[in-house]
Amino acid sequence: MMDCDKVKQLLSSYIDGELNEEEKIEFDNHIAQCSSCKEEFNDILKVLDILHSIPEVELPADFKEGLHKKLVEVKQQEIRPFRIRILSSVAAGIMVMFALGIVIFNAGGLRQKKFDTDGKTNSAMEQRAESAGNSSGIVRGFTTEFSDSTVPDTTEDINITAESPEPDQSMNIMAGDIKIQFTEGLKLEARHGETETDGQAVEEQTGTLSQELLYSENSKIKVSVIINDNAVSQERIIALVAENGGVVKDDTGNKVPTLMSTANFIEFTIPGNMYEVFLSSLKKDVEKSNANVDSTSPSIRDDIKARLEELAKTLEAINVKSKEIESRKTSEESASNPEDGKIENKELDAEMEQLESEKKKTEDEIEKLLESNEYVADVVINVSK
Amino acid sequence: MYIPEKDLIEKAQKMDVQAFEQLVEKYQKKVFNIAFSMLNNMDDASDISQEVFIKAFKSIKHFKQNSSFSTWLYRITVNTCLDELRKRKNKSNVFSIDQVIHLESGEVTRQLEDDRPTPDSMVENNELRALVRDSISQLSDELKEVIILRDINGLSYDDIADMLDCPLGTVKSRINRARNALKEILKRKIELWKKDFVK
Repeated sequence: MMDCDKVKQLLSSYIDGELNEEEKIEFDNHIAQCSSCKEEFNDILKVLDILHSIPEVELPADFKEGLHKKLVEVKQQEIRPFRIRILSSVAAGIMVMFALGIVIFNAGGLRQKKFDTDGKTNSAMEQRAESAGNSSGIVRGFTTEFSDSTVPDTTEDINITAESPEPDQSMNIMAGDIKIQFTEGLKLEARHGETETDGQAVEEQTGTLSQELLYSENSKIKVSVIINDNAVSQERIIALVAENGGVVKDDTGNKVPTLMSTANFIEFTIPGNMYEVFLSSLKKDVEKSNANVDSTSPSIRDDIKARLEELAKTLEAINVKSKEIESRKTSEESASNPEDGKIENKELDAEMEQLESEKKKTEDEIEKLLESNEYVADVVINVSK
Repeated sequence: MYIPEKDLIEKAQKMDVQAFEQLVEKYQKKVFNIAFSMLNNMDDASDISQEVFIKAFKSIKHFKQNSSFSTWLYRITVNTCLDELRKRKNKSNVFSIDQVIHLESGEVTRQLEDDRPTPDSMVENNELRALVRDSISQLSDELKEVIILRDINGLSYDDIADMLDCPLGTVKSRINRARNALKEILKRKIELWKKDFVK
């Protein structure tokens, strides 16, 4: 005989036709005699009735068109050269920055002469280096990996393409949805016209990238304001901070809406996307009293840099591995014995799946890293008369 | 011209937009409805559905031809919706669900309105469905997904197990718990609603 607990457990199975004949009969018997179970059974049936009666919702009229545009964009970005795609999180931005940092330093180290002769190329590269943050620490870490396969003796362009036609010859760095393929060897070239446009295009991209990174709403910038000669009042600064979504803390680390520990030094964190707004409001404000605002550029914390660097390496390793598996796969398919080929492929598929989940874990950590930290970069602002 | 799905997929893997769009046509309503059920908002459902198809287009080259395309696609849908829900939780822009009901037309209405129907006519009415959708949104993520996939979208236990990457037994017990939980929540809501009519 079935008891109430058992019946309650089996309700769904009964409704979905999963019980065998014996179980069904026992279930029916119990329901016939037990009013509370009967009530519950009927209630569930009613709810299901409603759920099943919900009509399918129609798609909005502009859905197809909107999607079409985006699909075409995706296709174009797959084949457009010299473009760096920004498709997902801020984390991807960091990795690109590091990667570019490497490229620039490699380039700088190898081909100083070339740069000197071509003034325009030089400045484009310098600007790139600046906006990439001049991260020499990172370069050391990365160059060892790159140097073997990439140091050429010829002079050609640094090619940063979205997709190259010979994938086996290049190294992939996949960061989320960003792919940067370094074509075989670092090519440095003094082809004036082309380099200029490339340099500019890339510089814009890099400028945009580091901005995306630092100035997104996911990152927080720690700002230290030093007030000299009473150039501006502490209250004014605190008000501006509050207006722009920032949070001021006193020296115990507690959030304080108004008071500060010293009159001349204020520290606060502000969302990345509000930093520029704050800075320009501050500048406008102090203009009236003839004061000056001097600010450094925000720079990313070392400890975050280090971890992100590691994670970038992990991602890179995963991508190298998955390419390897892909290539082993294709060769299996043309094997003499198709049955063996199938089995091998299944195993390789399993490996791929594992890699995919590792990749996802790594990407998740990157995102978490950015979101969970108190701040991602710091900057110092000096206000003086 | 009718092209079998397998061929469409092959073409789409080579970035053939037209071929991919034929796949979109086939599955878009289902994808949209799953998204709408999970997010309870037309605009969000539309945005997320587009995102789902973009993701699918980008990673279709990794799709293995011998598995089910629909399962693969619905899995992306569910995961994308869950990600979106989690993002929202973090931003904590929580408003009281008891005060706002999302109707299927996408309109948002307040619960207390004089022209609302009496409890007896509720069964035929949009408002009841709105209460149901609302109740679903109060379920935990894991219960939400199974009930949407099973009882709103009619997918089989096997497909669901495939999609969520969990054993069949787990799916069965979750469906049971989900239906129970939904029943309780809905009952409570209907009680509260009925009370408003007792004057």
